[in-house]
Amino acid sequence: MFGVFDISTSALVATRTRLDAISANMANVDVPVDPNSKETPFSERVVYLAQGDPTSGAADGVHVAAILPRNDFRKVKDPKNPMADKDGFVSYANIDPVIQQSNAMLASRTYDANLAAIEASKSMIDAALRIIA
Amino acid sequence: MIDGFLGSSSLPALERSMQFMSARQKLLAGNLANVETPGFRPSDVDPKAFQASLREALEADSVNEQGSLEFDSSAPVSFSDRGTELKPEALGENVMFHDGNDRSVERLMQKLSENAYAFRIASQLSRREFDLINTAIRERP
Repeated sequence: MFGVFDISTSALVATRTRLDAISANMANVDVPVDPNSKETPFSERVVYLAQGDPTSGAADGVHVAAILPRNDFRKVKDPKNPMADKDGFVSYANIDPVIQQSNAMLASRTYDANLAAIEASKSMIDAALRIIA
Repeated sequence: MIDGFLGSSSLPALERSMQFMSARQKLLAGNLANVETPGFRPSDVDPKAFQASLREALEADSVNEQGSLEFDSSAPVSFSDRGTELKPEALGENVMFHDGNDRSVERLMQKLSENAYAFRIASQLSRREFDLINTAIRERP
């Protein structure tokens, strides 16, 4: 209805998706890859944003273009671990908790900034309403 | 409404707008309440479709005996003595969760506040309209 909210809301949705991915990365930071499992092992998920929001049609908005795994693993020598391969190495998703933390902070600040933008737009509408009332 | 007195101003359009928006607010509140319900598909009425029907009704000047605007059957909403009935459409966007529920609280909240703003604009405009009539009755500002 009011285009300005479409832009800010699309950013809220995209940022929350980003924060979801970061949470998943943080949760799986110490999960070893099971060599006998047929499932795709967890690797760091990276959220790619792109301009424009197809859901609301806001050209100035933002949307999640893709969530892709980085497929990067680090090997740790740990022969007694039941997840170790025949050479005694255990694979973990190569996720740096420090980078994830800073990304989480950035995403959280972005969310706050967009909420502030919404509040600013609302006070502008309020001001416009005071002209007629 | 008193024909030719209240009916000739913008009040009929504002009346229908407010009826539509309060019905839509109910619908959106239901969507928000069911944001954790498995299998729930939120539904909504496009306000643009309502505005298009409102413009058609205004251009056709179709006013009933009560002085209220009459909408044709293609409108996404119908007004009667029993109340306002919306014809909502299920929203199927962004199916990301296994339980089939599209939980996008941000978009729901955006719709809620936009709808509330539109209602406020319409109610303040109609208050203004009544103030004008009051002024005319009292013959002083």
